[in-house]
Amino acid sequence: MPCERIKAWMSDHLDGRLDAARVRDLNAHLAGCEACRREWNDLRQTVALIRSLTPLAPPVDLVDSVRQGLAASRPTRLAVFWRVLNRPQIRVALAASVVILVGFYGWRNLTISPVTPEECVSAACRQVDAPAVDTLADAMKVPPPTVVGKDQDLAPRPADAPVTVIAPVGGNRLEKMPAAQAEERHSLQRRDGIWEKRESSDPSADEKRQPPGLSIGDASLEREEPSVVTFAARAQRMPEAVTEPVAAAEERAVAFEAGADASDDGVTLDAAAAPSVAKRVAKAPLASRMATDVHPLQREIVLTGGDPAAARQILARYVVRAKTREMKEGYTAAASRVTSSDKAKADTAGLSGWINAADYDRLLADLKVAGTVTFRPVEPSEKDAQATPASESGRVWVSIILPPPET
Amino acid sequence: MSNPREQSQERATEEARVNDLVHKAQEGSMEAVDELVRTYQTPIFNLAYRMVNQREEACDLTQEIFIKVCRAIRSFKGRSRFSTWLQALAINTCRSRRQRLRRIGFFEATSLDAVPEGADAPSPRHEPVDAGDRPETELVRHETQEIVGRAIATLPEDFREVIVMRDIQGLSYEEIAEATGCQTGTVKSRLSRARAKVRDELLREGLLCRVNG
Repeated sequence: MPCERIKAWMSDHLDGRLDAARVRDLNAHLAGCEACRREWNDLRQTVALIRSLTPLAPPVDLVDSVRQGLAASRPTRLAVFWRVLNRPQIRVALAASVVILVGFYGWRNLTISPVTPEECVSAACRQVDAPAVDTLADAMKVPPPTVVGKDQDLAPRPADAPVTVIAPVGGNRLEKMPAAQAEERHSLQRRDGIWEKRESSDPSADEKRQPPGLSIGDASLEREEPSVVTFAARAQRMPEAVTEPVAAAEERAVAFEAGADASDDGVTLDAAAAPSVAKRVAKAPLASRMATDVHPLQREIVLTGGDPAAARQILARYVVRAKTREMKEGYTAAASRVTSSDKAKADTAGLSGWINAADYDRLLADLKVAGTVTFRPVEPSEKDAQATPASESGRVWVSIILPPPET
Repeated sequence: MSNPREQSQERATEEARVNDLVHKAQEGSMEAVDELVRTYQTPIFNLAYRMVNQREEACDLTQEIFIKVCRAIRSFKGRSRFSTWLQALAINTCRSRRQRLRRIGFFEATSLDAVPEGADAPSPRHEPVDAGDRPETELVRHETQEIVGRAIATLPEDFREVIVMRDIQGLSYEEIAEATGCQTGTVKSRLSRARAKVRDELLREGLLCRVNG
């Protein structure tokens, strides 16, 4: 048996951790090996000396000092709070709450599509002679979009015709209802360019008329009436761009999507299609909703009282592609009257061209400085109906129509 | 002299008493905490002293260990013996304290890892003195203990932990392994090498020769 192995066993043997066979081998080796025997004796004495060490007496006041130490280092309420907050379960719960809240907020934002003032303008003022509106209810009484053909007249609808409108009823839902009822639900009036709650002598009755939680200027209500609140918020920023509240615009968008019959008795929706259309319109992103504006790619802007040269310069800043050089630069003569051939005249007068859809809002804002802007619906042909909408192509064809100067 | 059976019974009784104290301490009894401190203050203080080799530091360290025990006692689930759990907590606190002291150059400044003879020896009034011993015998015993203590103090930290827990505290290999977070084989190996180092130190001091002689 090699001495190294015997030496390795010595410590275990001192603790009684060596099995009987090894103990026999160790004893047999020690009997015949003087060096290992001496080492074994030294180790045994060493361990005996260590184990004979007298335990040191602890400080006599240890119990008191521990109590004092506990009292002095008692954690503050704030420390306890942070310790509780720092527990893994609490941290996981907090993280989950944040994720849920952020997810819910994001989902709400996805389901609530913003509406631009221009969209409201576009929907409300497709007729050149669109009447001015001062209240949401008035706006709802404005006739729905009339698809104007080449030879169709733009005669205003009779004032006493019954009107059925589609109005927001809370959340993201739209419902078809008589205009009077919509007016009752949405008692809003426009003041200084901002839509606000109509003053009422009886506050409680006023509250009853309001949709739940509807109050302009309160951001928390955006979940209840997102479109109206969005409209009001935008109206505060760009009051001059607002001519109609969003409810009416949505009405028209929905009506168009559903293939509405623009008869005198209001918008007629296919009952089966209405809910899905309303949902789709409410969820559609802005660009997509612009595409529902009668023609997927073309916009005709009627600029009244504007200087043709100025209008051309404004448009030229945004035009990214024109059919011909002449169309972009040339201007021959002002239109003699507003007809369906105005578009061709605008083309030849350099008042038409492709612009980026993203620039559309800015172009409108610039044109509003030059004159009064209204809109004309452009009837799509069968080919146009299959065209890629502006929301996807990123471009829109704009024609600026100049009515004849008043004599 | 009690036989092994009586010893086993005594150990079981002591174990039950400690468990009862722990249970009461977990329910908030400060009297139970005090009793636990009294029960374990000597082994914990000796462990602390062997780890830092300075009485004042050891007193402070012992206090810190028991404060930690009071704070953490609710987390003791009884999966191991309370003494093993306490030793583990004490060893970890000692390691942290040594690390902190090393950072501020405490050991270099005082050379406490190699305690000079007679320096910072525990106060005689704290040591139980057998009134029947003659002064010369007591002097020799005191000197021998000092040399052995110094030899232990020269050991690396992990060697010192196992030799103190095994040969001074009397813990089993398994308990040492649990307290230090090592394998039993590692404990065996460290213990064997630690004892060999102490033996070499004592041989150099001539203590073993004197004992032999």
